[in-house]
Amino acid sequence: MLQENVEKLKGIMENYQKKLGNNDDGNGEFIFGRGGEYSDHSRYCPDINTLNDQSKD
Amino acid sequence: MTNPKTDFKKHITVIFEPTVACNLRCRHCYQAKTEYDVHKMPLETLDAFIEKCAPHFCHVEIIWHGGEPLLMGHTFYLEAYERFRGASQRFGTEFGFSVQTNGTLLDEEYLKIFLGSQTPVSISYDGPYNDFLRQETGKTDAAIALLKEREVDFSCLSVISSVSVNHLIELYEYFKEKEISVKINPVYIDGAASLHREIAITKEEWAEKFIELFDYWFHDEDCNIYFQSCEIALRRALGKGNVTCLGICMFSYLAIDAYGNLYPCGRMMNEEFKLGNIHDLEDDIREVFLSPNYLDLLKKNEERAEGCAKCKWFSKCHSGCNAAAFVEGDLEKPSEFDCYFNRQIFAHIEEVLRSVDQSKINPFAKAILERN
Repeated sequence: MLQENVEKLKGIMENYQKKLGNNDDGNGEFIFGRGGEYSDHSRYCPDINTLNDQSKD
Repeated sequence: MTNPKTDFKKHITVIFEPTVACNLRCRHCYQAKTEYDVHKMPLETLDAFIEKCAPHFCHVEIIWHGGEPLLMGHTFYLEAYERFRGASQRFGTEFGFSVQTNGTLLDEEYLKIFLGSQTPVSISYDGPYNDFLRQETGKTDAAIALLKEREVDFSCLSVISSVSVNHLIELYEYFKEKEISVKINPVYIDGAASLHREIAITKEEWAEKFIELFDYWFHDEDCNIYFQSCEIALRRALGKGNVTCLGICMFSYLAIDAYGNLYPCGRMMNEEFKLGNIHDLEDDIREVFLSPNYLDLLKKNEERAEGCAKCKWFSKCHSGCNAAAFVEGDLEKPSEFDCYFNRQIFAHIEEVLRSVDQSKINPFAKAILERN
């Protein structure tokens, strides 16, 4: 894709995000609201095995 | 000089529907409108996708979806993962994978493939209510037993319908007892569900029962599973995390069908949302974000957001899910079902957090609060 189109796209996206107050920076912290897809809980949750081990103590 | 991997977005998620064929006919399936077309994605289409996507992102998340994705057969996935490994070496792109399946075709060979490729498995399964919407429960139970026996990283997705909405706490306890992480979603009236209205739940029922469940989960010190539905609700109430279906999917999310057609979402694979075909794009999948249909969707999304901008909860839901709004008939207005639910749950969690007894709290909720 031409660099000018990338710039155009970036402008459209930034304008859109501003309108939505969207704080997504595209860095991949991304979880799924509905689709049933598995998501990586380690991004925000403690390890389940650690927690379960602690609860057995 | 610009970096083609970071000059736009670093990350993209792609729902891969290599076929919409399915061996089951669930009563709520939104893919019924496709008539379960048996066409399967050829590897040439996968190659085209890789060539036009991998060079432009640091991370590409692939979600194998369908239809029933395991109908593609072992060879397809062996070949596919080989290609992704090659692309990772050539382009320096990181790939992540997961698969959503009914589990009925899961066997040792598939387990080997998914374990070898670090692909977490999500099983579509409604626990004790599975027979109401789905079929072949015995086969899905067997798949779950196999996953547990092999200690595979897996979770379940349960759809909540009229038969289970009054039993959410029992359902949560069912999965806890089996130590299976789970996410619950309300049934949406789309596809086959449109013909089976008796399975529907109202927005009031969903909000009321979910709030009861949230309170139970929040104070459950013995929670031993990931329960993503409540985790997400809590995180969003705190203003943390980006949730695709809460209005931030644009420019970060695409879906591809067996023919190579691209769409904004797996639930919006209609002609009016078709963004182009991977084989027709010159060299960069990001071109579809400048397609007329995408710009039209963007405009409608912005109009919806403008209507919601003064709402107290706008910063948490960003005017909600495009697909949910579309299913209810108007992309320029938020889904009434989702909007009602979000308003109720966010207000409730705000109240809970004001009065919370910190001495008795779910360890997962506690971790989320501590990281806030």
